[in-house]
Amino acid sequence: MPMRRASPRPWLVPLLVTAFVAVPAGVLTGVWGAAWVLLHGAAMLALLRVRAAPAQVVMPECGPACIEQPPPPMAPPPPARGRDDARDRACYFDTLRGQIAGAQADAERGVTGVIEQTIRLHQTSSRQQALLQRSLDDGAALLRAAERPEQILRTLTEILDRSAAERAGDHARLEALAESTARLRPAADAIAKISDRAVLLSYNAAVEAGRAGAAGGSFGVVADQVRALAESIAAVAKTLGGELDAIARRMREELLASRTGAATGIPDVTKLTAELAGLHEDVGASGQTLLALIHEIGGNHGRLVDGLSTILGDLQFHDVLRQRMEHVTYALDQLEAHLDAPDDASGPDLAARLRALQDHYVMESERQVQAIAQGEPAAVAAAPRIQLF
Amino acid sequence: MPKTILIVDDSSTMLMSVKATLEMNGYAVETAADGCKAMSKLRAGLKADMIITDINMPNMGGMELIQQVRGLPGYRFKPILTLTTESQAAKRDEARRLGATGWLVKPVAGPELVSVVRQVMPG
Repeated sequence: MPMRRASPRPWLVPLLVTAFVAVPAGVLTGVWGAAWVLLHGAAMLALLRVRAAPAQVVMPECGPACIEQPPPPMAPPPPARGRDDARDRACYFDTLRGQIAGAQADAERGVTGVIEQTIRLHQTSSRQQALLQRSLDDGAALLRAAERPEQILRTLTEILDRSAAERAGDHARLEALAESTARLRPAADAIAKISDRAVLLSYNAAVEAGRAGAAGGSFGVVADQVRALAESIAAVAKTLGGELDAIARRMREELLASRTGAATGIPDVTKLTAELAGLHEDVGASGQTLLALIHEIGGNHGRLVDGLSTILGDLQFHDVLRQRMEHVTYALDQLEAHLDAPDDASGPDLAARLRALQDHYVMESERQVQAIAQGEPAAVAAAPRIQLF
Repeated sequence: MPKTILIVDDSSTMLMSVKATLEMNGYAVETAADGCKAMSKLRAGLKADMIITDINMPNMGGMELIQQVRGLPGYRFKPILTLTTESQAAKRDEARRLGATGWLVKPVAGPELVSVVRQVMPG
């Protein structure tokens, strides 16, 4: 720390202030203003003299320099003051120990609080993780359930395709049957014509039988029978033709109706199945998105655990600090013991006590601090901080 | 079934922080404030899959604990890590001779500690 020196002419500043302020003030405000400024300048001068009176004491920095420069000899204190010093020294050391113990207790409370908060944070995240796991299970179940409608849709589509093919086959067969029926109609007409000709022929036979007289009597009976038969056949042929017409008409109507139904019903069902398939795809995609989100959040829990573990590891500084504080307290005890009996030849001197402190250190950093204070080269730790045997 | 780790340290904050770190990473943790209390727990039937111990502790330190644990049935090959501020090479060598599996100097970052634990106790 650089030495601060008092100004060699402390009266100079108030004098200058007075000269530069009092004169203009006198000009501007008159005699009373000038008098007030002069009094103020005098007060400043007095104040500066009081503050400049004690000499500034400058302490050299601690380090090798303090070892090279022995402290100035001190006059032995009078006996009465010695008793007071002994009492005050004990109080001083107790104060230091109390401050260290208080700082340790405060640090322990703070660190414990941080650890407890960290644990609570982890518990909250773990509960969240458990809920997410349940959501994950639900999502997987949803995707499994979504597979069932897909199978149903696939089966339904197959049935519809098969049904459409069968219907197309039915139509073809119906058309063929209608054509076959239509082809029967000319045959019925031909039968009717043949029967008409047979009736005509029977009439002619009956006329010829009449001309033949008694000889043609039996022939006339046959002619009558032929006519009756031909008339019956003609009636049957007429009925058959009407029936064939009716059958062909009904078949054409059924075919038309079936084709119309196929043209309207199947596209409706196909559209419905397509919509269901689209819905299924949407559900599947949503389920996948949900699962990805849950996995992402689950990953965040892992990162949180890593972060909390890092914080907890960092808090181990407290144990390091606690042990160093304990060693400082031990060093204070040693110093106090030495100061309580400075002339005791049977006890160790301060240098021996200082050397003995090394035996109480466990950390390389502690040894380095003392080495530097003693002007010795600081040892560098060679061993790794983590070593597996 | 999570693996059980016994942590031995006279610092309550160390016990808390290491316990929390290991529990967060899926281990079951038991604690003891010194070597004597750790031996009492082990003799009472605690089945520890691993022990992490400090070295400088009251009543019974880490060195004696390692020695006594190695004499217990079933603990000859169980991993024992030291987690300590002690940095002297002589102490490290002594721990190795007594049967310690590894030596860790405080402070050790949580993920690093978990990594070492997984390394010496796979599965």
